[in-house]
Amino acid sequence: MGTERSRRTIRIGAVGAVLAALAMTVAATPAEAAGLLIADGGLGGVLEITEHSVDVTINNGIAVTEVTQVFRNTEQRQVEALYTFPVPKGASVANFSMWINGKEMVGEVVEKQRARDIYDSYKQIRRDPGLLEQKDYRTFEMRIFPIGPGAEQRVRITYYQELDTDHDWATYVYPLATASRVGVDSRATGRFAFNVHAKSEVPVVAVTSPSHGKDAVVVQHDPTYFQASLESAEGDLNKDVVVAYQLQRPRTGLDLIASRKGGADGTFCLTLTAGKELEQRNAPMDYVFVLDISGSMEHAGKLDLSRDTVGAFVDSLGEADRFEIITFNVAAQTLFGRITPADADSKRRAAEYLAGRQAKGGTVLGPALDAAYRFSDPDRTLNVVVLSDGMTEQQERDALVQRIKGRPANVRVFCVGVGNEVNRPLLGQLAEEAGGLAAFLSRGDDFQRQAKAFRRKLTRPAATDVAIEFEGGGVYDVIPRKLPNLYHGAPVRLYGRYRRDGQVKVTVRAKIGAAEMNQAATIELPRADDANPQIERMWAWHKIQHLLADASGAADPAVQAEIVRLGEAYSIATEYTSFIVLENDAEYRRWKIDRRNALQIQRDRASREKVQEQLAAIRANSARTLGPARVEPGGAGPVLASAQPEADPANAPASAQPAQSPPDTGPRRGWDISLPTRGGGPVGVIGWAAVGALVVATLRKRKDKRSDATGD
Amino acid sequence: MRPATDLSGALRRRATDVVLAAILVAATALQVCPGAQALLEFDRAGIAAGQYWRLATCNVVHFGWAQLLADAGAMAVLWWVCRRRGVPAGWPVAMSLMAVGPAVWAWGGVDVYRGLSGINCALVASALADAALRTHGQGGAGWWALLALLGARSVYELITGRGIGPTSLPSDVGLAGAAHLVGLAVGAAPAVVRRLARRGRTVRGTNAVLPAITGNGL
Repeated sequence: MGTERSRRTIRIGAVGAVLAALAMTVAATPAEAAGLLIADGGLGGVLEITEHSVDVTINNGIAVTEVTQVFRNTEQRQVEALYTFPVPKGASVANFSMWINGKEMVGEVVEKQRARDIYDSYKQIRRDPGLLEQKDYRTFEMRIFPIGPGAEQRVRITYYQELDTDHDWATYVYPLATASRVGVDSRATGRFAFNVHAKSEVPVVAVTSPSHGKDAVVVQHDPTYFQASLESAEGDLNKDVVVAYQLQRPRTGLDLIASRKGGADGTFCLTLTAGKELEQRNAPMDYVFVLDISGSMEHAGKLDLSRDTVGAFVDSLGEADRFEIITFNVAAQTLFGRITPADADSKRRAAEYLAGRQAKGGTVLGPALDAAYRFSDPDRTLNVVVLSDGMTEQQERDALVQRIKGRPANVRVFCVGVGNEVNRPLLGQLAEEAGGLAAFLSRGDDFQRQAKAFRRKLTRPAATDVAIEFEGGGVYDVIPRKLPNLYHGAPVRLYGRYRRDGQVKVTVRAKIGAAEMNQAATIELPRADDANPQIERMWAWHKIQHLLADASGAADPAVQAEIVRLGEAYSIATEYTSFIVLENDAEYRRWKIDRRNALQIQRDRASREKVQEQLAAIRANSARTLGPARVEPGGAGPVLASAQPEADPANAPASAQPAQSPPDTGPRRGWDISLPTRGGGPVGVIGWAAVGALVVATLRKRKDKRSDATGD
Repeated sequence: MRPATDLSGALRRRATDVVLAAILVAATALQVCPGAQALLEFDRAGIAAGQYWRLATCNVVHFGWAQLLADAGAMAVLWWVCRRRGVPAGWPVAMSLMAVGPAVWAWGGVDVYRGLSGINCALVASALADAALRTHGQGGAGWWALLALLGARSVYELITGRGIGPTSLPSDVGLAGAAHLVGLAVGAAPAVVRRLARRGRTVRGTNAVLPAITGNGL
């Protein structure tokens, strides 16, 4: 195979690859199945996937996914291949590599127009051009030409993303379950390997794979490290791979990870997480579920997923809760016509109603939202939960945002995106405007777990007006400047740079209900830390997003220049920068393109190797406890958690998990903060009894006086 | 012409009426001004920074309409009871207004406190103690028992931070038992002192009379 590949790769002269990423792209969504090569721009069938390996390193909630795929042209002719690849939500593409002449050529980021000019110059002289650019907000495409008969092409994409964290459960999704092209066979004829190594400063107390419970092997070597693995031959790639793990942070607090090398300014990521003490008793609430039953929901089981999720949510409601279900396509329809207590009968009727819905027609959400608002009761908070794939008609979007802004005062709107093709930017925007939040359901995930977690979010108090201030350390460029609301289970992350190491006073201000919180903690910024280089890219990526948001509508040349500078410096594809892959180093020199990304990738890989070494040491340490002679009661042996999770992960008690104290992980990285406790004084049952007794006695006394006065 | 003592008593009652009415009006008005509530509530950090008015004004702000309605309703009823039974309400209201905030501060555990319940506790304790003193026999013991039950409830709240039975507070708000306990104490104190004083007078009187009887008889 190696010789064959070599012969084929020799025929590829120079390959230029341009990755053009638009602003929405980097905030984009999971889209199509894992990268596919389609011959002749999609007209000539798909090239066979002979190998597909995914290596994921999760370091404190930031995942680095390295996808390597090998394609083979099974046709007896030279073809042009169209490579498509999904970029999950909030992901930053950090590298694109192709194997040319048997050597991995790492792409470099340059200004978009320049990248295109270079690509065109190769195309004009027909030196095997390749072009990779964004098709829409969710898809990257690259053309490779030529791929000879029987030849193989190896490609590798690396992207960074922050994981969705939900009530202490962090979820990683490798998107595979998507609307594939007609006729596309997404099965890997060869090996499909998926490996996750996850490290966390906050101890991990449970790990599961909701999507591949029976097939995946999950091993927890240590409270701060677990490994998940899935391997198959000729595997069907139409199902997302989902790995979820639960972190244990019983108290609200701050967690810090930092990166600093040499004397340069450092970068940090600070996470504010709501702890268990913020949990409150579930006050009765009103819910209106607004369920999209338009035609687009028919695909990929999205309507079924929505039905299951709403059904699970309704089942979890208490009798004091009330609910209504509205379905909509081009018109809205209600189940009860009024907000109804969630008793057994109404739950049964809801299940029957949901089962009878069919997906058809267009998507017009506005009137359904208006109808939902009409169920608001001044004395109770109304939660409007919209489940949709977000494919709202383009012309209706502005009106929709206005509708959300104009909602009644006691209404919160929560958007649940269904499926991997969901228009995340739109749903996210709607939720932001509504003071609620957006969540996204993957088909591979456990909908009951998601429903329960989402319900917990709705019933937990949110901290609003969150602000974090720093004193000392020369902290600057903190992003985001305005922090979002803190929901239970949805940590707030902020990134920043610092000039000096040492102690920094961090003040957290927030409003929890009516109470003001103003708490300070002293954190330690490290002098040197090369274990987390990914946060540098994430900081730059967030800064670019911030600049892009500011620049929307008015293209400011200064902003564009700053985006290009950041994109090139941190190798990030943006609306104004692109990746280009050239045949060899000489070609890069010819175009005066610095090999910044090549160096950065080298550094990142060295760092990941270092992390891997640490993890290997942990594995070795835990393996020592294996064997009959070494097993000690309550010992720290590896915990196998494959197949079906024994306990419902959403409710898995911490005590059911291995009770191990975290190992010495160096300097302290987490700080608890105290939240204000509120107290009041109700009259209470006994108080009213006393008042009642006094009133009765007083009335009796009056009566007695009257009787005395009348001589009765 | 009305005697001077009656006049001063009427004036005191009128002043108490004005104060109680002002408290109820202020509490209701403040409920629609969240900004003002934040400035007036018991906020430990604010008090530490010198905003001492919060120690007193925390009594007239509430966490919600439900708490306000329950507290204000109870206060209105107790006001009526005190007027009808001739219980002096000026002392318990004034003392609890001043004592509740410092008690919450001293006990700790609560960073933010709001509510009229401390004053209500003072009023109810005052009325119960008065009733106990005016009632002889088992009736009096019953009133004392009710007062003791309220005291026990407050101790339970103080220790556990939880209430007994449903409350009018939002679900994320705990109970400040210290406010209730100090309210009961300042409300019951005058009556208890009166009772002790009366008992003391009774005993002294007996001692004074007995020798005379003894002297006369023997």
